[in-house]
This record gives sequence, structure tokens and C-alpha cells, in this order.
Amino acid sequence: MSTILDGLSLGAIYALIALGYTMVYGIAKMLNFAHGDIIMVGAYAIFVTLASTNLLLALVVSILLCAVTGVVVEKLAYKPLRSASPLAVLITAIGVSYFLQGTAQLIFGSKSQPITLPSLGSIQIGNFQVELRTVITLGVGALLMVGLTLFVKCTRTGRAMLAVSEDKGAAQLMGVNVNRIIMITFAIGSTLAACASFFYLLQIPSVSPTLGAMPGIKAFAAAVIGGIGSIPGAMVGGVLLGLVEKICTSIPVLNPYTTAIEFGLLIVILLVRPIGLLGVRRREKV
Amino acid sequence: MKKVLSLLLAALLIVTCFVGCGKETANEIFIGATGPLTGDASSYGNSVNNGAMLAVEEINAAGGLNGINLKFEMKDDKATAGDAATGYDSLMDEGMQISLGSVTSGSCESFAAKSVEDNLFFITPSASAANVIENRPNAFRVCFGDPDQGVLAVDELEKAGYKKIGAIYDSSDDYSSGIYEAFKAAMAEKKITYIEQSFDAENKKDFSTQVEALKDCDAIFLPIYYTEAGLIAKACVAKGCTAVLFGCDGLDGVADQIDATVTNKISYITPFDVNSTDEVPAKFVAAYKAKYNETPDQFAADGYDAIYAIYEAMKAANITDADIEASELCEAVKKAITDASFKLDGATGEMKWDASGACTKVPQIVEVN
Repeated sequence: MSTILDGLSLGAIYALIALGYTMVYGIAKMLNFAHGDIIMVGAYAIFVTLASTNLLLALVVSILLCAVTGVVVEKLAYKPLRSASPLAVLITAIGVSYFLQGTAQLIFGSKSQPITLPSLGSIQIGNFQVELRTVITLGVGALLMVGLTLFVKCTRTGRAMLAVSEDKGAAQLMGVNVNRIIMITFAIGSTLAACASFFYLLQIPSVSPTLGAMPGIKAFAAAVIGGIGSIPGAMVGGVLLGLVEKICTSIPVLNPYTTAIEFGLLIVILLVRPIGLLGVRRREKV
Repeated sequence: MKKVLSLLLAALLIVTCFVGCGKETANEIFIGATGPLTGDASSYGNSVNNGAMLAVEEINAAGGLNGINLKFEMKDDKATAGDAATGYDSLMDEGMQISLGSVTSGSCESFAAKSVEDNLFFITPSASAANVIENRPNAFRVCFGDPDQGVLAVDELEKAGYKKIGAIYDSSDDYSSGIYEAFKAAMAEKKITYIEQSFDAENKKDFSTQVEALKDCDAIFLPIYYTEAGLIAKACVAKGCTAVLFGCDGLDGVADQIDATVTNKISYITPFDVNSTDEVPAKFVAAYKAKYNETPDQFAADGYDAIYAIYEAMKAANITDADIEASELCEAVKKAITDASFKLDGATGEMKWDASGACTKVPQIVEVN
């Protein structure tokens, strides 16, 4: 039971990161592999500001810094490549990822440093001690998912995003400012990354320049499992992957193969249902 | 203009000639080594390098070896076997006569394989994998071997009389697995039961599952490095696990990874205690702090001791010729260091060596909190 709770908690973090991947992919049609490293930026922002102020302010600073980093990266690295081939953009994203890691290593050194966050305590549900952070992570994840879905469906900017996602050129002709929409998408994605970094630190209280790499890749897998581009899919994929990881770790025989099983799951799902669990098949127009 | 340039170049050529000659006639014995000076493992290489340089300076300041100065140089191998082999070749070209081998086990394995052919004596400060010195008469080491630590840990755990013991190790790491395999065998021999948990390089951040499984243990054995140990200590706090955390020398540095919320008692086996009041370690720590303005870790102490081991052995062998060949020096030093009367009182305790190349010394238990 406690394994399942741990899995949900980890899954919720993956889900939050996956939401960012899926947002950016869904609208800008590019894989932002530097997304994991934005989380690292957020974590270091919390780490540095927490030393002098309280948690709430640290969270605000982290969100602002992540959003700015996301937008700047988009402006400097991705925007000039808007009409380049997807492969060029993908490789640039990997470059940005290394750039962010390298910069963090220059500033903070390669050693991991511990961080002390206030304990949130736990609550009693039936016979089980449930850590409050698990509940909050899941709750915030679900809330953001609903919020994002509503935002995309009901607001002007949201519908503009859908339009850009559907057809960039046509959207532009209809008077949508494509560059502005993509910038907003990156800002939202990076804000999600900042939230994810906070919950990540609650679970794993230590910062290092490479902390975003592995969760980033796993969250990417989660986004693909759920159906990349689909907001509820990211949530489902993330939670599923977190559960699989924790259950495998808790069974001694499977433990050494945990990562293999996780990515094996990705392959199986891609074979059986290439668009992901909740992905929407789009008919190519000829 | 062209004439001036060519004159300058010619002059430079002549000067460099003399530089080369100067090296030939210098009254020095050249000690070479390779280690990671850049990259992920660079903290180990730099520590060993600093410790070794400090020892060389002390020895030379005190008059050297029978009037011969020591010269030490470490080539960067980025903790890779390939670069260690390249480093070995260029050190040999530069006239290496005796060596500290390599800092990390993987590199040292390739260094050692080459050194056997040249019969070059080396004493590695820190390459702890069992195979580095196996079947190599020219290979010695300062640190404990990995399996030794596993066996020592079982003795300590048995002595403390814990009822329920757990262990978490890194299945993807040679150091951790090396200790753990020996630990497992020794536990089986003593018929002590325990609960096994593991992790690997891809999953070494979140330890909630492992700690959950070991929640009721009195003691958890951690043959791992300090970063993960710090995270495990934190996971113990989150899970309300009060077990004593007990590890090996990889835990050196864990104090910086935990904070006041961690109430679990943490201790580890190590030959080097930075707070020791014994004469040699205390003197070493003070000198190191004065020179580098930082606290030495175990790798620095190992590097320091390795240089002194070479120095004392050469002194015992009464080496007076600075131009002695590597192979000849190897035979003399080997004989001296394995002699029953030879012992070194170093920063990592009192050490003796036998023909296997392994070092015998008394481990200490350091308590972190």
C-alpha cells in the first residue's frame, strides 16, 4: 500500500513534468528536451532563495525565473529555427540542455547539495499514514490539468494556441500572433516545470546540476505513453510510470530491471497503440 | 622581420635543447601517476594530487632522499582506462621511475596492466577494486580493498549485536558491489540474516521504497557513496525509520549532505579520521589546510601516505642513484616494503605490506553525529 502511495507521489511529479512536454509539443510541435533542465533551474532557484527568505517567496522566485528562462531559451535558440527541419530543433534542444547543465555546474559546482524544506507532515486515512506531500502533489497535478484544459478550451489565448497547433500558417493568416502564442506556451510550460521542481525537492531534498535529466527523460516517456500533445494523457502516463517504477523497485527480483521495465512499457504501448493511451489520431489532409 | 623571427626561433631551439638536458642531469626521482583532474570524478584526482604534492614538498624541504629530490606529476585520465594508458606512455617517455598508479579502479586496471611489462613499482592511493593488485608483483596499494571493507563491516555489525539488519547497495557500481558481495558472503558464513535492497545508476535519487522495506531495522548497512547515503538518511526521516546507518569509507563527506532533521546515528569504517588527535594525521590535516585552505578528505590522505610509503621504502632500500632504472628500483623497493620490519606511520594509520600488495592497517569507526 505504501509502495502505491510512493508511486502516486512520484507519478504526480512525472505527470507535472510531462504536462510541460506535452503543452510545448502539442502547440509548437517540437520536443523541448531542455525541459528537464528547466526543473533544475527551478530547483536551484528554490535552493538559493530559501537560504534567505521563506518558502512561498522562494516558490514565486522559482516560477518567475523558470518562466523567464523558458522564454529566453525559446527566443534565442528555437525562434530562429522556426522554419528549419524538426531534427535541427531537436538537436538544438539537446544543446540547450547541456548548456543549462554546464552553466549550473560552473556556478554551483558538480557536487550535489542537500536542501531543507519544511516537513508537511502526514495525515491518517483509514489505517494508513499518508504523507501530505503525496496528496498535495496529486491534487495540484490534477488541478493544473483541469485548469490547463479549461484554459486551452475557453480562453482567447487558449483557442489561439489550438489554432497554432492545428496549422501555423493558417493561424497567422487569421490574425493570430504565432510567435507570441508560442512564447506564452513556453512560459506556461516552464511555470509547470517550476512547480514540478518544488514537488521534486519535497520528495528528494537535494539539488545537483543534472537532477532534471533523468526525471525529464522519464516524464517524456510518460508524455508519449499518455499520448503526446494530450493534457489528460500526460497526467495518466505520469502516474502510470510512477506506479510501475515504485512497484518494480519494491519487488527484489524486478528491482535491477526497473528502468528497463519502464521504458519497455513505453515500447509496448507504442507498438500496440502508437498514438499513446489518450492520444487523438489526426487525419492527414492531402 | 623574417630574419629576426628565424633568429628568435633558432635561439628558442637552442634554449629548449638545454631544457631537455637540464632534466637529464637533475638530481631527481620522477614519480608519475594518472587520475581524474577534470570531469565528474575530478574531486578524487585533485585530492590525491594535492595530498601527494604536499608530501613531496615536505620531503624535499627536509633534504629529500639521500640528497635526491622527488618530483611528482599526475596526468589527467578523466577516470577512463584509455586516458590512463595514454598517460602511462607519456609518463614513461618523460622518464617515470616509480609511480602512484591511478586514482580510480578502472583506470588503475589499465595502468597496472602496462606497468607489469615494464616492471614499474606502483602503489595506488585509492584504487580499491580487488583485481588491481591481483597477480601483479609490482602493484601495491594504500587504501583497503573493497572486499576487506565488507568483511570488516560484518565484524562490526556482529559486535554491536543488532537484531534486525538491512543493507542497501548500488548494483551498478563496482565499489559498492565489490564490498557488498564480500559482505553477503561473510554474513552467510556467520549465518546472520538480513534484508537486501538495491538501486542502480538510473534510480539513485528516490529511496522511499528501499527505506520502507527496511523501516523496522536496527541498523542499515550502506556500502555506497555519501551523496546517496545523505538521501537515504533523509528518506529515513520522512518514513520515520530510526535505524543506525553504517557504511564504509565512501560515506566520508556525508556530514555535508544531511541537516538537523536527520536524527539517525550515522557511522562508517575508515582508515582516516579528519578530527584525529594522533600525531601524523593531525599534522597532515593542519599542513593541508594551511596549503590548500580546505579540509582534506580520505583521498588526499591516501595520496599523502602513498608518497611517504615510496619515500620510506626507497630510504630503507638505500637508493642513492637518481638515474636508477624503473625495473631495478622496483625490485629494491619491493624488497624493502614487504620486509617484516617495514612499517609506515601515516595519515591513515600504521601500515604494513605483504607480497600481495595489500595494505594491513587498523580501521577506525567515525561517527558523524
